Amino acid sequence: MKQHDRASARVVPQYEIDTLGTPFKVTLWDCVTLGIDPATGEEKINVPDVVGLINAVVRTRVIHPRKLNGDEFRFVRNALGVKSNVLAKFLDMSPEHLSRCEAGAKVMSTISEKFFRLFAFLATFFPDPEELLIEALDGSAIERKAKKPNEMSKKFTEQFLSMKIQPAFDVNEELHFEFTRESVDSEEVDGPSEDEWKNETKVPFAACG
Amino acid sequence: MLIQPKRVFGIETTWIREYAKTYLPNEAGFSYSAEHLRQIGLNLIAIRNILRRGHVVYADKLDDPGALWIVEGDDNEDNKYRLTLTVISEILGVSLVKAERVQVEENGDEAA
Repeated sequence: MKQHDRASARVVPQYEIDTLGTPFKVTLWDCVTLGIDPATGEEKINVPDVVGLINAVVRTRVIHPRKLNGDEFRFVRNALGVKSNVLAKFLDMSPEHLSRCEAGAKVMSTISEKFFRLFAFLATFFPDPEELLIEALDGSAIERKAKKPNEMSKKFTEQFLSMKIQPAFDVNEELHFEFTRESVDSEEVDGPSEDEWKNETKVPFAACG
Repeated sequence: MLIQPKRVFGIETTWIREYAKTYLPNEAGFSYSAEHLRQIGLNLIAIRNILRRGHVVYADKLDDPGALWIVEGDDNEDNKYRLTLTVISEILGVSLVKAERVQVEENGDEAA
């Protein structure tokens, strides 16, 4: 669907997106547009701000207390675009061990998982998360390179000081996160007013955009 | 040492890499056929990685608004893909036309 074909497109009130690559359910409210490509006759989906959506999904999952399974580890790592050998070095484990954790053959220790979650949460505020791991950035460089550094620091402190990972949970209870686009007040962000993804799911920690 | 092809679409490569790294706080979006992605087993995370690290290997202006670009790159799991896109840079509109897996031949003695 080309942008000038939007007239024939319609906004879907509720869209369960199965092409994002998440190992859990994600529903998008009032923001996905469906239309027909006049050249091919194919139905095409338009998703606004894919980068923002991916980062919002990663943040929402890593602040959810349920222990990450192997597929979720791999999803978060790929969503951040970090190679497994780089992440394994950061987590002080062998690439083989990380690979086994992602395959579900081994369970990552709680402390390593928490460390991974801290990194993943922070990394969503950076255009190139792998750079955080490869280059040992100092504090001022991190603040300079981060998108929305004030928001990052505030949410980081809010979320992780009280986090307890839940290793036991009902396996029949499927994780399901819901997102919508909301206009954000310029006082809340480091710049002009803008739209961004907001998590609508009730999770034990504060919702995160 | 392998001879690397000359990357001639430097501006396009920079543009698409920045597009794949940047929050877009407006309604400009990414368009694609969900059915096509399901058929080839790709997802948006992988596409973002291909665009973030890939190279534009072909670019041509369309009669309609925008241009046709072909991007080659890996999905962060060492699988190589080739994406055909229409790009309207003025409105930050990117639409996936086609995605295909690229088979990389092993360059070893046994390949001879």
